[in-house]
Amino acid sequence: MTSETNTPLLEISDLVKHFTVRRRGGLWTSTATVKAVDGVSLNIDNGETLGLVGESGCGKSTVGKLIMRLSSLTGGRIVFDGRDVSHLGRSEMRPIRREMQMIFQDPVSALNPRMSVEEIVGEPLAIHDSRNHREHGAKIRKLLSTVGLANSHAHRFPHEFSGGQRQRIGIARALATQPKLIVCDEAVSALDVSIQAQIINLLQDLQEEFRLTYLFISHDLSVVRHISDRIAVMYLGRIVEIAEKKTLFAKPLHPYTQALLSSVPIPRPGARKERIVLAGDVPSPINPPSGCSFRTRCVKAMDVCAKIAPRLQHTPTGDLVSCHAVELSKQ
Amino acid sequence: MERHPFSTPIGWRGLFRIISERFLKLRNSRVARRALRNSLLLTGIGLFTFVVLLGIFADFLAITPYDEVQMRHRFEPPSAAFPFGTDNFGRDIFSRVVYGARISLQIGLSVVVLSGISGVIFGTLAGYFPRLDNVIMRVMDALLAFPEIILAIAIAATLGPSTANAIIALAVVYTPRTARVVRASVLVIRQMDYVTAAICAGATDMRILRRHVFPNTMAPLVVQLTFIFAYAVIAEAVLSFLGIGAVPPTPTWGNIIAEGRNYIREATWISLFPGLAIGITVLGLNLLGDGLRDVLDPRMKVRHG
Repeated sequence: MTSETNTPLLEISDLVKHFTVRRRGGLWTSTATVKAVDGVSLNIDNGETLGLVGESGCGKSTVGKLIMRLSSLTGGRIVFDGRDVSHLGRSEMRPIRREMQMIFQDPVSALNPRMSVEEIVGEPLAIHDSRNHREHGAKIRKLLSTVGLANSHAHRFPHEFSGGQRQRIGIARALATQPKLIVCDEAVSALDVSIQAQIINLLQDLQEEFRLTYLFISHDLSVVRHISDRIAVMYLGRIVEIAEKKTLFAKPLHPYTQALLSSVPIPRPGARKERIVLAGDVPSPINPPSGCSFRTRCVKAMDVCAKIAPRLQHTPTGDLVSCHAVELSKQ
Repeated sequence: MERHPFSTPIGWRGLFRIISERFLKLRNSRVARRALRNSLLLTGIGLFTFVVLLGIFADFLAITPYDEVQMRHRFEPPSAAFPFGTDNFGRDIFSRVVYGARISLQIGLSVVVLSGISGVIFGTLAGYFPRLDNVIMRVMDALLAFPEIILAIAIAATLGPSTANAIIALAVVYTPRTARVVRASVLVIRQMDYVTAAICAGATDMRILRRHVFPNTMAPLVVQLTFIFAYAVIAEAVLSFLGIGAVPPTPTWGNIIAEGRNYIREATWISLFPGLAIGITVLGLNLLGDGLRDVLDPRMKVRHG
């Protein structure tokens, strides 16, 4: 309530993350730099869901990890709730971590097999709220019922649950400290389709109930379409387009977005549509193409694309796209 | 499903089930169910329990004191009075072997505890803090480069013959094994999402190590420690055979064999029975370790040795 409605909850600008990898070659080992995230800027407003999509390896999970400050950033700025958190140390981060939590892809590895559900869900409480430990039991039971689990589940261990139930336990843990932002990293990708729907509905209900803000990272366009307000499309460590869900699906501007959307199957027998099949593989992030990183696979590539990297530009509808071809057609 | 335990002959398996279900409350545990189906594990538990009971009840089993010299009864073959025969001083081999069990198990257990603790410390530090990894593991590699028994002999000989020094020597020698096992599992656990979740929740390294990392390294560590127990029993026998372990007249399996060595043609029983005791103990422990490995983590297929 304190923050104004028009200041975004999370602002990232020019986020860069480089990994140094060793390459063994003969006598000497050389090092190479992987540009996993190469200048990503985006805002997430209070209470909205931003979908972040892209192929595997495009750096979308790394963006999530950087926002959670799970790895150090090479460059750029992260402003969370009006506070620059880009270079805070581990103990300085601790009070802020209450406000931002994460839901993981693999419900098996996300829960410690040696801890009971009660201990798992109660751990954030034990860390941030150790003084009121007598109230934790009641809080844990409330959290469990919020995510649709029974009180009797509290003393059981993760292996006694199904994938969907485990994901619910993970969600309860993320909710424990009443965060503002939740980063969902492929949160439903490992689940059966029917369970996916349940979990997504749960996430939407929770968003309404607790005024949550989601960064929803996924490669699954239909899931992202269902849950997101806005969608950011990533390619090779950069954002190529950010748009309102409706405009993005109705009128994708960037050639990569167009190709991505055309790959989604239509669940109707006999349906036909034009498919844009991209040639070649994703270039290596160790040595990305000059200029626009998508130009090697782009159908609209021009001379200028090899020379100048396009910047994110506002479109007439207020969305953002980074493509020379789009700019040209606009003028 | 539930049978009354005393209405039918139950056998070993039934007894184990009653123990695990009624007393250890493992009714729902998959581990317990797998354990009951594993006959090698049950045999190992049986053999090892037998030896442990010998050690615990040595005072009641050995009627003749282990150091009572009876010159009239020198070199007597096994008989009703002396079940395992007597040695060159007329001492009862049975009493000596039974008391030897106590010493061997004490040494084995001490080595397991010490090398377990140091292995957890070094392995965790190396696995969790990448900066320490190289330093610690290269020292461990250096220790591993020596044949274990030679290194143990060298350390024990330097420190001088005593039970405590034998324990120290063996604990040093087996620390790299436990450290490597612990490090390997810490490296895997560190990448698990539940550790990431703990960091997101704001947990300190100490908390992560205590609540998340340590409990999950236990399964492979316990398996490894079982094997180390077996190695330690053998190595202790070697040390006291060479005269750098427990000091006579304290009976250990190793020094009983060593004393019987000179009479091995005429009085084979002196060396035979402590040898058998070592064999049974080590067999039991190895079966126990193999069984535990299968039960605790069926995917864990790393061979020891």
